[in-house]
Amino acid sequence: MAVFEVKDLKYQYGKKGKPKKEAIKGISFSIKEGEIFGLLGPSGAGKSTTQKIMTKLLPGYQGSVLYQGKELSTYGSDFFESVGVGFELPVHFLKLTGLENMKFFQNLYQSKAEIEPLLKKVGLFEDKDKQVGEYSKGMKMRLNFVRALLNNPSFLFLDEVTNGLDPTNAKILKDMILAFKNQGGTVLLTTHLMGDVEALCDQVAFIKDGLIIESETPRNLKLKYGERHVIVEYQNKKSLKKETFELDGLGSNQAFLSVLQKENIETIHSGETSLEDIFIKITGDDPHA
Amino acid sequence: MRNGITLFKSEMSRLYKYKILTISLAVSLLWMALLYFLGADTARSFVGLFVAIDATIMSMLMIGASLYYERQENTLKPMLVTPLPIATMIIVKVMTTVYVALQSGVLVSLFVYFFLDIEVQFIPLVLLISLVATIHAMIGIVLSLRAKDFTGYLVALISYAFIFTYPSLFLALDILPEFLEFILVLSPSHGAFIYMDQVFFVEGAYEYTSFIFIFSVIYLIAVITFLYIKWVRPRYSELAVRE
Repeated sequence: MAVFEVKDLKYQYGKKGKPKKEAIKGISFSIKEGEIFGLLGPSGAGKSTTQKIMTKLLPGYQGSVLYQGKELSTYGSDFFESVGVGFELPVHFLKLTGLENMKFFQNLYQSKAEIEPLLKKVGLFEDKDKQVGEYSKGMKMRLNFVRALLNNPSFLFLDEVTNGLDPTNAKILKDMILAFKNQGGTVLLTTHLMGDVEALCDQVAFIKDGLIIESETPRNLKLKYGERHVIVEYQNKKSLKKETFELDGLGSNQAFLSVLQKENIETIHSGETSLEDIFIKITGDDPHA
Repeated sequence: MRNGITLFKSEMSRLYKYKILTISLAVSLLWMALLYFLGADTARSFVGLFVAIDATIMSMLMIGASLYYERQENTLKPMLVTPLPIATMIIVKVMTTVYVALQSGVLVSLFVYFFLDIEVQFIPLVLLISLVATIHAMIGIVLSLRAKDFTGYLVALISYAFIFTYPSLFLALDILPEFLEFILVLSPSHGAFIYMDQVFFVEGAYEYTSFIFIFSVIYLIAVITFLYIKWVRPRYSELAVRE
């Protein structure tokens, strides 16, 4: 069952009487229960606008956005009882402590998660009584993530969730997102970090200039955009040799089998492409640019 | 409603942590010290003025500072993804400002009542401060949402004071001629300076007619409603999304 069903969504920015900019030009996708859906694309492609519409921050859209089978615009503020939103930038009161910040927001929800275990999981428990102004950017981002989970949501909107985190802390958050999914939660992840997409997403959609130009599972994308060959590097008479073999019929390829049996193999790589390369190929933009 | 009360408590606690409440209390103490040294006779003439400044300019300054911090810390946007209606968020912001203005006004009034033997009409005082602080909190939100930064807000605040506050103050001090009241009654700050003296039974206080008093109250409520519908509500959500 689809938690979100977006059909022919369009959105224009601009004030009355002034020329309008069409940010979303008619996109459709659905997010199934229990999946992590990645919305990918270069800056200004329409990712944030789509997410703002889906979090009810931007009214006045055209098309249809169904949440749990009901049009999003018909939901009142109770919609926010079931969703959590993790923002790209730190969103905390700097003169309050980490714990005070979390209590400030949590008091506004009916359902309340236990704050301290969450702080322990993201490694902030020891610093919970420090003012957030003293936190590093990585600590603030981890606190952002805890904020998104304060109301035990069933749906999470996450925007560049590991932005500014070192690999260890990024992994902790990714593991928590996977644990959230394994408990039945659904996630919309907006990011340009392809490592996060590889590690987390079940389904991805690439958006560019307000249009979805590709939507697939990461595995199918790799198959579609990857090259079907194997590259073998081996030592032969004290020099490094490199040969490429077609993946089709590889098991009966005598030249390949001969190399495997006779040569001193150093590396074997398939022609599987990375999501980063696919991103560049599809959108024409470097995600790190 | 329940969430509104929760947010009010949290907001008060936040204002305390950000020392905004402490500064407001310090200003009240400053007024008390000044009034004490002025002596009862002179203090009677000035106490209304001090309380009016607290309910007008200080209210605007306080809500402006509070919103400035929120814009700087990006905390407006996460509030919009909580189950709290925007109307409640705005009402709570205004209520905290009114609370601080009341705290200051009542403290100063209690001080002059007990220590300087100045009579005070406490019920009209509370009603007047509530109404005046509400409209100035609304104006503060409008100016703050329009300003690019805190300096821009201060410039807007000073400009507002020159156009709307000082003329009423000058009328109250008999510097401006009485016939100008028909124009000044349109200023949201007018009521604070004109009627506050009545609360403290100042001899020779500016005398207003019932018609002007009723008109002022209806006018202030109309301006509050207009500001909320046309400016504060739409701009608040727009800014929160943009920032």
